[in-house]
Amino acid sequence: MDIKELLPVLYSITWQNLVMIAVGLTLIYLAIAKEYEPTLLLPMGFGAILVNIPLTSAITQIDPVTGQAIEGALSVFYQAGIATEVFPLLIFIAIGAMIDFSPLFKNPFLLLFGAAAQFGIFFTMIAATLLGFDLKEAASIGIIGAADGPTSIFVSSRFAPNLLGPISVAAYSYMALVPIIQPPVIRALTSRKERMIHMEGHAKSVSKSALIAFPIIVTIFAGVVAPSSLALIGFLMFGNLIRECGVLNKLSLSAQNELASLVTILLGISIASTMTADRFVRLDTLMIIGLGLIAFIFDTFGGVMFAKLLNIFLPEGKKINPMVGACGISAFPMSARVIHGMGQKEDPTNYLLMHAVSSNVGGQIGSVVAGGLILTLVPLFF
Amino acid sequence: MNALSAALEITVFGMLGIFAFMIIFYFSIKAIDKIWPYKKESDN
Repeated sequence: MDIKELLPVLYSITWQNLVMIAVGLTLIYLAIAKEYEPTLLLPMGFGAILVNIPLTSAITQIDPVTGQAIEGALSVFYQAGIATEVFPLLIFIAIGAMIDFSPLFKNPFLLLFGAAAQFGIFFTMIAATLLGFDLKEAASIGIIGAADGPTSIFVSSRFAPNLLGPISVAAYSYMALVPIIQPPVIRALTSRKERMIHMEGHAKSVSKSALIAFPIIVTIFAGVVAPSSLALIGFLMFGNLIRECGVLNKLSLSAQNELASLVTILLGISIASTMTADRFVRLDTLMIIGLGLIAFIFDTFGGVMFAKLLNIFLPEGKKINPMVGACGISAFPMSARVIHGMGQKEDPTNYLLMHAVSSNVGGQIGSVVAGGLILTLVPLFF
Repeated sequence: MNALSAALEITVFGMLGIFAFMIIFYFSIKAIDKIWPYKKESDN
């Protein structure tokens, strides 16, 4: 028996497999050393190694002798949890249970930034079509700009499952890089005087009944207007109702902790089943990574420029600090913290955190609404 | 219709749609807050 029969992997491995194993190691490094979205990037990184060792039993392989498919666990997870959209939807329940909508009640006007800062999604979709992607692929790439991993996974698993790996990597990596991406864009778009604008506070309490009614009303409204968005919005609001109802505290804590942790592990490692060398080591992947960055930049652009537009009409003393507009992305609470920090740097007496959090919560709703609208609109063009 | 013009149309309808949703959510919040205002002792 020669070594080729004893260690067939050594003779089957390609440079593309080695590249993917290096990608996996890089994701693990970023997750552990830099703490960039470790809950997702670590399972994805490890999974990328698992699926790129030739003849791996982790994914479904065709037996060269019998020609029959031998099912691998990760492929089974993918079919059960991502192809059916179950994992992202379970994550939405967990996220809903984590979101406190009360900042929006204190300053609901800031909800509008949750719309303006979704501009990057659409700008990137247009850019992707110019680069030759078809409409469904372009929409899936654009949704990276939702700055919301589960929404990106949900949309791309429906429209472009072949691009799910690179889209997920880009979405989660850039979410972790918000503190690096947003500040230079904001500084380029605003003057120091604008960054020093103080906004008046809204110290106000919200009734429990209002917080219970909100997810129910939003779900009914979304269902009537855009039924295709109902899975996304409905599961998010269901999680929030568990949190706010006051009689399911154990379930709420389980959703926020155990459910979120378990499904995140399964989600990350299942996505990795798509990160095989033949699908990932392509020019498309580099384009998607680049387009993802454009999406985040233009999200920030949309939020900041919308605030500047409103400031033309708002009287002195009511003006909005344009940096708060940039918080309309879904990366919560990172974006709010970044903007508060930037405000403090310009003027230590300027406390933007409360406004930034309101805008950021608006972004969490906005990203899900954007995902729902993409799911509704794109099929109309086929 | 090619992908680019479809993407442009989706951008217009998509952005208008998100703003429409948010404006309605804004008024929903205002209405909810008015119907169930915060009461220190009885409600919370």
